[in-house]
Amino acid sequence: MKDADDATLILEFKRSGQLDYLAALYQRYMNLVYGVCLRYFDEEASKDAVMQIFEELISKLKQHEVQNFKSWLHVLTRNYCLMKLRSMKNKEGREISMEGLPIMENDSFGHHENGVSMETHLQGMEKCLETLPEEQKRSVDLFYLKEKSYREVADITGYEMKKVKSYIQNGKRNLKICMEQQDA
Amino acid sequence: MNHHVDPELIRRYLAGELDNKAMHALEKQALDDPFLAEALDGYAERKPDQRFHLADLNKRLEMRVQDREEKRGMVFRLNYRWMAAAGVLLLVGISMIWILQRGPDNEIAMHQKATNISDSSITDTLQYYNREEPVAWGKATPEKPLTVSIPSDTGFLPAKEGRISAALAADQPMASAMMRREDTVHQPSPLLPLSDSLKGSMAGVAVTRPVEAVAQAEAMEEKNPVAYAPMVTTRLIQGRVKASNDKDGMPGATVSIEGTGTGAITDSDGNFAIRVADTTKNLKLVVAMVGFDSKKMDLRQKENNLDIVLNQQEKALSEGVVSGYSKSKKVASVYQPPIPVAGYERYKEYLSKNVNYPASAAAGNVTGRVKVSFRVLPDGTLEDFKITRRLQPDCDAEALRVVKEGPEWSPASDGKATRVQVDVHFPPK
Repeated sequence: MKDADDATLILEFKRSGQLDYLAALYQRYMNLVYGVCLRYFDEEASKDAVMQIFEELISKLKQHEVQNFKSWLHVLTRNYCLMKLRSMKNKEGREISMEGLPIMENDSFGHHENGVSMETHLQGMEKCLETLPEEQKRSVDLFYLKEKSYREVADITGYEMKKVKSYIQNGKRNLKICMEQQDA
Repeated sequence: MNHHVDPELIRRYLAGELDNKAMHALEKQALDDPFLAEALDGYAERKPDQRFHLADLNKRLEMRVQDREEKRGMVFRLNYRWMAAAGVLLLVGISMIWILQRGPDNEIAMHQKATNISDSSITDTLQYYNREEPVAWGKATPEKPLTVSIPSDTGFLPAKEGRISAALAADQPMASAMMRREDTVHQPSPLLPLSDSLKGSMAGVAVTRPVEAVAQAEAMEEKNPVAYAPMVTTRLIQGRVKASNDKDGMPGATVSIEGTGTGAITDSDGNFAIRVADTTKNLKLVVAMVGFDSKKMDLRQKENNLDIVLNQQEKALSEGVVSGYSKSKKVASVYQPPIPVAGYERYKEYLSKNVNYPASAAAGNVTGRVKVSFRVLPDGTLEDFKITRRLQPDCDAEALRVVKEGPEWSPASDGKATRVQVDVHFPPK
């Protein structure tokens, strides 16, 4: 069960209804689910949420055809948290501004699985790199081409850690847009 | 495929225990994996060491899986119990019917002495002394009173009138007896079914003209409508509504009696109270709240204090809500980029088996990979092939060939032409 891939486990679960398969699958991502929950709730509430999401999985997996389980689970997790947060409003819980949450971009789904890596895009896109604002260009260059970690980038450039992260994220997005224009 | 990320790696990353290279690797992975990125953000807001909680989670998951087996057993036992209960009820019901059908018969036939079975309420018990009318009863001893007792909440109510009418049927008015009856009978009931039951129950007694008797009884009823007004007592139904996943009461839920305008809304603690006429039979309570499955329940006679639990609606949690936060997609249709029909694993297998290593490359000792990019149209055809990473002209051509001749692709789930890229490897021989 440990070596089977996600799709196989889902299939087995659907066929047999045995929770073991689902649990084996869920275990792979449980730390991610938990991490996402931590953004919204404290530790105890997050753990409850993780278990609740497992319950939802049991029913939802039977209804939906899921191809990319990981992405799907991510969306499910986030939706669960937001719903929960909403129902907790006026009770306890941390205030989270919905604005600040990144909206899922379609093309980032399954990105990590289809063999298209950012690195190769970059190599075909040095021109695009030139069009980026200075901070983004430097950060992206150091991160992707020189393979420095966020911490090192921050040390080298003197930018704040948090800024570095957003420079890289934005730079990456801008590059992608730039490349899609080239392609078209 | 990079599905799971070691929790330990995350912990060490956040605790700053990783070297720069490993940090970079994880950061890069997170940039391509929004799930991981969001999880990292979550962890970053807490103490880096979440090992205790993760271990706890694993344990809970394990328990949950085992739990299922036990629950299954319980459900079965429960059903079994219910079946037994239903069986007992059925038995009681049948014997009640039997007793009721036979009971009065015997009483009349044997001319038992007055024994009030269900006492207290006048409407339940009807007494008739036939002092002045020996004729109707044939050999009956005039001094002995005849008692007909019918428990009020059975379906046999009508028989009451019937028997009296039968008794009266004999012949003559018996004014005084009739008057007494007017005083005591309060419940109006249809007369029709009774002539039957009466024929049976009066066997052995001289019954002369039952139909006329019925008519008489009817006439009597008309004379005295006031006497039939139901006695109104009220019943207070109260209780508390809560959600299945919450121990506090649920404010604002509506509780109503089905088919009536009577109802209430729960207060801030989830409590409600409704007053209904006591005579109303078969009360059904309907409890509803937005976002929860409404519940309909039968109220038994003595059940005036209720704890009601509502279950959260499954449906409301999924589709509808998601659209509020993400303009683009519903949960039910998570975007799926184009993939090879047989899956990536098989596709890679195909590539590695079918790539011919060009002689020129072998001579030059060229190894590495070529990246081929192309568009998958909504009908699954491939077009616009480009080489996005070159290696060596012959290798490039071979890579292009092998992809072009390769297995089919299924299009992106949003029905748009979408560009994908694959790696064709020319490994060292």
